Amino acid sequence: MLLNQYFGQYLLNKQILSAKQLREAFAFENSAKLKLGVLAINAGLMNASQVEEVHELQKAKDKKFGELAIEAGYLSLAKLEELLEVQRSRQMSLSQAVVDLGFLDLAQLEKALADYKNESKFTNDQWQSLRTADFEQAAHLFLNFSKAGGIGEIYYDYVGLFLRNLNRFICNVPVLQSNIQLSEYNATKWLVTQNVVGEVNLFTGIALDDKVFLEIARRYSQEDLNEIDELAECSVAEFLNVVNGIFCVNASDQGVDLDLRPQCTTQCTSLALTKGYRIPIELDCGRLELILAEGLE
Amino acid sequence: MEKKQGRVLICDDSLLVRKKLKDILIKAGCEVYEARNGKEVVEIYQSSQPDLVFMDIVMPEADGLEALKNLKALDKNAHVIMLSSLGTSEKLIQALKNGAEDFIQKPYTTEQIMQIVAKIAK
Repeated sequence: MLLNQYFGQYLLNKQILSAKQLREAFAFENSAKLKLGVLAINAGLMNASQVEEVHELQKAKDKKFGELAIEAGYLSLAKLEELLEVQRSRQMSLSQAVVDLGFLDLAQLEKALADYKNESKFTNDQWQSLRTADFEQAAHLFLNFSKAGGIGEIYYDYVGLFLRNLNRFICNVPVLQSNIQLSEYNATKWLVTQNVVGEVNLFTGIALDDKVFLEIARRYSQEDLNEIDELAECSVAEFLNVVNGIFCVNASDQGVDLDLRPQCTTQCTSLALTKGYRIPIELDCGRLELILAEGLE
Repeated sequence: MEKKQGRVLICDDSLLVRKKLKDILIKAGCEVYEARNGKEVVEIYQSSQPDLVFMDIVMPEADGLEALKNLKALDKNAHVIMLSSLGTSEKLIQALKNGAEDFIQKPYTTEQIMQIVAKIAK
């Protein structure tokens, strides 16, 4: 549930937890999370081969397990809602994880939660909706592209899509940090980029260090990679390419024709672009920065 | 799996995509050839005479749609399947116009690839 992500982000921003502790807490929480497929089998609603089939479909389609299971005729909407409720009620909360791991005691947790509720200024409805909110909403709630002009809405959509695909291929709980206006940018580490061209020209990039680069490459490719070689470089580049492909298809569905240029992977590069943003994202394996800018590099 | 399902040429600039696809095709009994861009694919097509080509669109040198046109000019019976992340309706229409037989959007599943191979093997 997204509430965990938001609360985790708050703990990180307030330096109540370090990034390392937060990653551990999310990993711990996730290890206890019940998968929808398992719940469906337990409830006798789907058999194992149907669950496998839906998992396989998930690899090709940008959709959630429940949506695909309904499309395949294995679940009704009512049954899916029942399963989601069971999943929510049994899911370990981040609060439980940070206490169990000894990062906070109960009094510290109680204070942090109370402070978060006060400072977040969420209405009761918003608070409630965090249980079911999606990544697109998270982008709107945590990022500010108000100075970006007309392209701002595109940035929000892109970040939502990027988070959804990080969640799909790389990491269960990507956590957004506040965006930073792009000024002179000198990447001290890896930079994987791709230009989206057409009615809108958008520069997209991922900046990351060796450790995160290799881990993303491993997870996306599902290959046993031990060093950053051509296969690892292609894996991270292909991840960005797939995200951008979906972005273009979504735009095409709305009548906006976009095209892609080949990806480029470099180290220690300077970017001349200044009209854009760096968006730090914490993963369970470290941090990356998504870079979005208007124009082409 | 039945041996020798045919010769397949993969054209993609990504080593990852070529490797993953090659693993599936070899397991299916295909003889596999590789090209890294839209220029190379024309040369390798002539030397390997494949039964089927999987072609990416976004590539350096010549892109996949250009390469598709060149292959069809060379051999109007070439069987080309586009395999790209860029599955917009514009690209799909252009690919079919240029003579592609099908279009698979990345990320693909093993099953999608096997269905195409089975169809060509008939």
